[in-house]
Amino acid sequence: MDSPNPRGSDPHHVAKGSGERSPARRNRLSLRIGEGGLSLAAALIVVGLVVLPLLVLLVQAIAPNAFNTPPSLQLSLAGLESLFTDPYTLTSGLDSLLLAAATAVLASAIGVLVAYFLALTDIPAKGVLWGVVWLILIAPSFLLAQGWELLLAPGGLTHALLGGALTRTLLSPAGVMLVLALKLFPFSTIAVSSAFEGLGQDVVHAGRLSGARSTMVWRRILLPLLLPAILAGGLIVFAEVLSDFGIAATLAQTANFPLATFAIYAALEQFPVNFSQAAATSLLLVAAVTIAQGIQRRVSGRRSYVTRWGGNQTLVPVALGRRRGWLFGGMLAFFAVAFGIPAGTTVLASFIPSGAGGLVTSGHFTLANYQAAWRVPYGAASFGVSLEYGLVAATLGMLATLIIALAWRRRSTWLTGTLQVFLTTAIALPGIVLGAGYIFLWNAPGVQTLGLYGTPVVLGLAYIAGGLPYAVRVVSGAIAQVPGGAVDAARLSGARLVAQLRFIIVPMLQDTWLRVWLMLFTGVLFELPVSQLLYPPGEPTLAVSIVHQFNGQRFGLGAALTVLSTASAGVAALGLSYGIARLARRTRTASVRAPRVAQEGEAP
Amino acid sequence: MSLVIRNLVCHYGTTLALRDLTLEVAEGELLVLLGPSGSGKTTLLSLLAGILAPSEGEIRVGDQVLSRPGFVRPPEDRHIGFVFQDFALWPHMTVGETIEFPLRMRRMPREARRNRVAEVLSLVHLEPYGARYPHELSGGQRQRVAIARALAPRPSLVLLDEPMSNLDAKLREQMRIELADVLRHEGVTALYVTHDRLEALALADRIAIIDEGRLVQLAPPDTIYRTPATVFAAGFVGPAALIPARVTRAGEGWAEIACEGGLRASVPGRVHRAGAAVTWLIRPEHLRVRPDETAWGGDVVLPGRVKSSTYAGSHWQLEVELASAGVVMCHHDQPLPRGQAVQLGVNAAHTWLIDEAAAPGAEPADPGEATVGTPAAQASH
Repeated sequence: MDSPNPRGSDPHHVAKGSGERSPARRNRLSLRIGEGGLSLAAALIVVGLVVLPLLVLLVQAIAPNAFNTPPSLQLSLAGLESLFTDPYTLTSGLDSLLLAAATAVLASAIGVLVAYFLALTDIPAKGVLWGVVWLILIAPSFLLAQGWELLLAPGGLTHALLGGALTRTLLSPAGVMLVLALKLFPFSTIAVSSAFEGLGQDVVHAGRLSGARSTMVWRRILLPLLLPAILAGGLIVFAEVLSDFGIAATLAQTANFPLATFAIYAALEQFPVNFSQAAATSLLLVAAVTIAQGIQRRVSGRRSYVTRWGGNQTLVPVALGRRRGWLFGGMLAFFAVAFGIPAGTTVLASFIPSGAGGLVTSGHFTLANYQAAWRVPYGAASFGVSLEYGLVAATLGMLATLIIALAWRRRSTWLTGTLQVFLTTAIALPGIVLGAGYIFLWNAPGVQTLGLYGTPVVLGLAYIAGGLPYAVRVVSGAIAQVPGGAVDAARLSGARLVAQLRFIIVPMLQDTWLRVWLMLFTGVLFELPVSQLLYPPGEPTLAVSIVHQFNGQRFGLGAALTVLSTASAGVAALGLSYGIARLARRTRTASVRAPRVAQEGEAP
Repeated sequence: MSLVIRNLVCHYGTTLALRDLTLEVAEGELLVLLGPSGSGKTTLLSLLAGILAPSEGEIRVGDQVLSRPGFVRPPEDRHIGFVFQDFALWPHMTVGETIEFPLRMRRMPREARRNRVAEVLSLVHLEPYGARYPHELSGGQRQRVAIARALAPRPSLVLLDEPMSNLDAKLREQMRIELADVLRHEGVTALYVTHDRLEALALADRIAIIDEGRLVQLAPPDTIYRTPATVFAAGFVGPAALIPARVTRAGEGWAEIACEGGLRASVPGRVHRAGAAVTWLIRPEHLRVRPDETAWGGDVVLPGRVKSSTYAGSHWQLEVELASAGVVMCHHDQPLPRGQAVQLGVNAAHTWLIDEAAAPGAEPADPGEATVGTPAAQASH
């Protein structure tokens, strides 16, 4: 909104020798530095944290010896060619694309349904159900996959009971898709429920009065209005599947279903390391997501969803009547499968002594795993390490996000446009690729002399970079919802940039900040691939430790660590989620009509 | 402080939203900017607020330059109050916090802030509502909060962008009176944008009529109503019979005209030459209706036939097709059957001749007249 000058030049330019008094000049000057500084800071953050590592990776893909000593810029297309020539790379790439598309459809269907019940019906215990949705969202995929594996693996809990029938069903591409959809549907739920909340009752009334029946209102009015949100949610799921490493490295491997992220990991782990092939596969993933985003933009078209449609009144909740109990039961059953089974298996395993004998053979429960977790290396101490990373990275990430979102809202140039595209596509950037990019960048000649490689700083920066794309997307969307009039009114009241932020934008979007912070924090807490590649020697993070214990066949210990950390994080998330729900209620009732100053149709 | 706008031009791409607008608002004056949608009113307000930058021209308040090409003082440094059409209240702030906000931004000490908030709250009759949030207020109360926020820091200028458009008719009437009181009490220079002529006539010290980005006329309400400079202005400020005519003899401040059908009259007005095509303006309240032949004294008599009678509460509104030319509206105390022949009498001294060629664009019809009744305007001369 804030485009003060129709002709595009800086409207706050200070004319030389205009003879103004010095305090006023100082004010304007500080404002200019404020705006210019903001843009510069935003560009530096995005370039330094995301663009440079990716550029280095791209160079690595086509000039494998560019960062060697002595450096050589000799080009080689061997990596890109391997996408089509190497059967394993080709299969894994195709598998990933198909899996991502199928999962996006399934997760969207589940997500929209759940969003409908949570946003638009009088289903009971909404707070609790939302809590579970958030739990599933923040639960790292490798933990859920480990839960399913504990259950399904030969020697696992069900194997003895069901004779492997369930194992064969779920340890297949379809099973991987189901597990992924059950893990990723919250992305769709969250996107679509906000869209539901943004719909006004009047659009329904108008449809009804035009003669449309309920189904027609849904088909012709509500669904088209929701479509961009559904697509946005589906796109996130698509990108998440392409980026997922946790399930690709566990369940999909066991199911003999090679995926692109694991192919990248394999290329990085094999000897000699095949960086160019890893980089080429990453490019494939990035390209796939870019195309998907293009499609989403086309479908969304030029419709504006900035303002609430159809009046201030939100849609009236649908009364479920006698079906309420049944539907609530169904919802609980669904959550029991999606989250209860893998979580329950993990909890169970944490109380059973670890050993080569498998899980069901032991008849007694013990706390030995929890006691051991505090003593062993790669134990509970790593939870503290990850907590610190989470607090610092989420807070700094939040700040970076705010700077970027604000700078891009106030000023739009080709540079911000390019960086924006970059950051949006970076959502699909698998953590493993980001980690690899960081390894190259911080070991590159020149940068290496800073001596930061192998320190918590680089890992922290990579964490921030990993969370930034989502955070900027969510925050930019939220800031766009702040009516222009509210900010203009503050400016005319004398509020400068910082005051506009402090008193208007930040408090008006309190629930968004909490939500984004929570997202960044939990993302860091359980982050696996980047941590695996970048953790400082001797200071493993939580995810590294858990995987370490599982790899060492110490299932009980790994499960105990998982339970300890997820329970603590879960309690914190539930608390915050409750706070968010309360804040959202307050702001919703408080949403006073205050759209942009009417331009009488004369604005461009 | 007085507001001076000189030769202001504003482009949106290739669209010219304001064309060479020059305007002065004297200290303490309430100037109403009246014009149809798309006339450039809101553009002018945005330029004054610093939300837009002018393509040419200059805006000054007192001796301080607010905008000129290449320089725009940011909104936060303008010390201007703005009442938004949709109020633009902050949903997370109470009434008290909202009104206090601009004072806080200007670093007023806490005690002084508290006093001023209390003072402004009482001015807009919202004393008991300081702790309420916007969603706990009625439309009229929100409106008052928006006005209070704009006035609290004692700005040098207050801009009001169709502030009544979101209120219902009854509330609008009440707020009109209150707003005029509040603005006069604070003695603030104000620019009020509206497309509602009744609002403009009731509130304004002077009215500036703009159309297609041009200033059409700038004068006190009664001057604009009685002696509009253009046909557009005449029609925009009130119902009018506009009869085409030709000047047969031009005098100083009056002219003899001839209408179609042979009707002749001697009418006040400024015409530039004999032979000019002019428009004869008759307001409905000056037309008297006689169903039969009666002696008319010195009135000009216009014969015609009734087209329709519409009940308007205090009177009947008749639509009469004149024998000479055109259709006119007039008031009567009873309905008349359609097709009935009537005679309309009018005292020509109460009518006015509009010669658009004699009213060059944005200039006021008469510089002397433009200042009548506005102490503020006199100060600007």
